[in-house]
Amino acid sequence: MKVTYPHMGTINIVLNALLRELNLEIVPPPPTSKKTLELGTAHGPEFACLPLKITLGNFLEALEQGAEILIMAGGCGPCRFGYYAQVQREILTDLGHNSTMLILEPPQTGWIDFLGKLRWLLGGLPVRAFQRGWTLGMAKARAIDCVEEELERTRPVEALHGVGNAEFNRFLNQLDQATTLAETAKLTKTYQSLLRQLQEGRRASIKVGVVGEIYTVLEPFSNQDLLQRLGALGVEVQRKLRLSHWISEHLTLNSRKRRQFRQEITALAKPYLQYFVGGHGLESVAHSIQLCQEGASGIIQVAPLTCMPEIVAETVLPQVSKDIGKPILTLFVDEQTAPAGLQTRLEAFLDLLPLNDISQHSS
Amino acid sequence: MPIIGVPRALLYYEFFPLWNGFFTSLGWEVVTSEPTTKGTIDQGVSMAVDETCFPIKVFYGHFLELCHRCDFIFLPRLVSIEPRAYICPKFMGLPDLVRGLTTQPILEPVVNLHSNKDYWRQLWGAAQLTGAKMGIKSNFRIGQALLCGLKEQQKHYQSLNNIVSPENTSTQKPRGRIGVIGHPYTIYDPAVNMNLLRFLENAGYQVVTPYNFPNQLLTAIANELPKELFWTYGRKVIGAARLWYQRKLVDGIIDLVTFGCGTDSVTGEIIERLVRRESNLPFLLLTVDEHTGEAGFYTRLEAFIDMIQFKAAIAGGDV
Repeated sequence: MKVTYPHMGTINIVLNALLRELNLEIVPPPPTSKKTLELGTAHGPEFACLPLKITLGNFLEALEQGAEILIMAGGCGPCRFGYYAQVQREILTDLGHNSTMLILEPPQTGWIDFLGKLRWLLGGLPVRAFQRGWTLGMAKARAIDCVEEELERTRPVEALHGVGNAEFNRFLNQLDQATTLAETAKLTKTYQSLLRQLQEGRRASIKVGVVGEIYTVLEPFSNQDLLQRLGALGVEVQRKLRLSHWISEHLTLNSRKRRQFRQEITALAKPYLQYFVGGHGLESVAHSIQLCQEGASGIIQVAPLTCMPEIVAETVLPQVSKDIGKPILTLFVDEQTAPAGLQTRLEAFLDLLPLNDISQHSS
Repeated sequence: MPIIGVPRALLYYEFFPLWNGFFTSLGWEVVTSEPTTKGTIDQGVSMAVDETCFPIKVFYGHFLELCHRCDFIFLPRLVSIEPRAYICPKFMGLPDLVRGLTTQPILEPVVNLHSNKDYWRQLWGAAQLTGAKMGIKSNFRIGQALLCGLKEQQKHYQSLNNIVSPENTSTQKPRGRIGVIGHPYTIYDPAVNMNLLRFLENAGYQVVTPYNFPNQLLTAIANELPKELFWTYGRKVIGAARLWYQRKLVDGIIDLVTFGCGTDSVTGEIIERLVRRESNLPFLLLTVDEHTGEAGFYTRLEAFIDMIQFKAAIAGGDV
C-alpha cells in the first residue's frame, strides 16, 4: 500500500523515518510548487486559509504519482485546521478519487480512535516498531531544528550568500538516509560545526523575531522564503516555533510538562490576550514579548489570510509593540502574495529598525 | 442607577433576552446601540484591522457608538455555549480586541460550557462574576436573575420555533419556502444582509432559518457527518441544510456568509457539496461585506427565484 502525506517544511524527513520503520511504501508528494498551489486553489474553498489549499495540492499531486493512503492530522478546534482533512476528503471524493484518508486525531480527543489507527498502520508489526520509528523521527526533528538554528545565524554573515543553504540541503538529504540515532547525532555535529565555520566568528547586528501561524512559518513556499530573504538582508532570525516543538506540543502525553509550558505562555500574554484563541494566537503574543526580551529589534508576524487566531493576535499586537518599544510587522500571505511586494515591505521594515533602536537609546 | 450597554451586534441576536432578563431582574438599566446603519459600518471598518471578518467590523461600529452612553459595557467572552463546540476564535478574544478603545469598564465574564461535566457550574460562575463586578453579593438574587434570564431566553426560542416545526409542514405555502442559512448576526441584521429576508418575503416566499428549528435536532443531524463539527454555528447551518433537503422542507437554500468568516469557509464548502450530491435543490451562496452593492446582490437573488419558479413550473407540468 502506498502512503503519502502533505508537506510542511521539513516534516517529510520525520515522517519518512517513522513510516519506513512500519514497512510502508512511501510516495512523497512532489516538492510544493506553483503547480501544487494552482491545483489546491482550483479545487479548494475560495476563502479557506492557504495551508488547506497547498496541502490539498500536495495530495492531488501525490495521487497522480499513485498514492493510495493519505495521512493527515486532525484536531479539535477552534482553529480550522482540525477540519481540513474532512473538507479535503469531500473534495477528493467529488473529484472521483477513491483513496483512503487516514486522519490522525490527537490522542487527547479519543484514545480508542487513535490506538485503532495506530494498529492499522502497524498492520501486524510489533508496537516496538512504532516506538523505534517514533524515536528516530523525533531525533531527526530535533536535529533539523538544531542545524537550522545554526543556519539562521549563518545566513546573514556568510561570505558568499547561499552557501549555508546549500550545506543545509545537503544535510537534509543525508539525514533522510540516516537509519540510526548515532548517525543522526553525528550528522548534526558535523553540519553544525561546518555552518559555524562559515560564520567565521561574525554575528549579525540585527536580530528579528518571527512569530505567527506554524505552517506559514515552517513552510518556505507559503511565505515566499521569508526566513531566507531575511538572512540575505543581513538579519538573524529568531523564533520559538520549530518543528520538534510543534510535534511534542501536540503529541506529548506528559501533562505536567504541557501545563507548565502553557502557563508560561499564558502569563506573558495575559495583559493583552487573556484567553487561548486556538492555533498559535496566544503564542504569537507571548513569543513577541519573549523574543524582544531576548534581544530582537523587531517582530514579524506571518499568517495565512483569514486565519482566525492570528487576526486576534494581530489586533492586540500594536499595544504590545507600544509597550515593549519595538516595531511589529504583520504579513498575511495567500495565493496572491508576490515576492516583489514582500521584499519591499521587508526592506522598509528593516530600514526602520536601526532608527527605532537609536531613538530608544537616546530617550 | 448605572447603565449596562449591550452592543447590538454578534450574539446580541441570539442571547439578548437572556442578558436583558438577567440585568433588569437585578434592577439595572440596559441600553443597546442603535440598529446598524451605513455609518455604523463605516466607523467599524475604519477601526478594525483590515483582515478581520465583516461581522467583527460591524461590531466595532456598535461598540464605539455605545461606549459613551453607558457605565458598563457587557461583553461576555463566549468561549463555548454548548458541550464540545466553540463559537469562533474571535469570540474567545472579543474583550481583548476592543480593550484599548475605551476607558469604560468592560464586564467580561468567561462563558465556557465546553465540558458536559461542569456545564451548570460554569454558567453559574459567569453569572456570579457578573453580579459581583457590579457589587451584588447575594447568591439568591443572582440565582433569581439567572433563572429569569433563562426563562426569557426559553420564551425567545419558543417564539422562533413556532414559525414552523419540521413535523408540521402543512403550514400554508405561499409560493414556496426558502431556507436561509447563516449566523444569527447576518440573518437577523437587515443592514448586513441587504434586507434579504424582507426581499424574499416580498417575492412571495416564506423564509425559514436554522433558528426556527430545535437545536437538538440540528445538532443530531450535523453529527451524522464522519467527524463531529467543533463550531456551534457550523453545526446549526449544516444540520439545517441537511434537514431541509432530506425532508424536502424548502424549495431552495441560500447560504448567507460574510466575507472573511473562517468557519463558513469550511462549512459552506461541505454544505455546497452535500446539497449538490444528495439533492437537486437550487442552492445559492451569497457573500456580503461592506462593499456589497444592492444591484448585483438583488440581480443574483432574482435569478435564483426565477430558477425556483422554473423548477416548480416543470414539476407542475406547466411547461
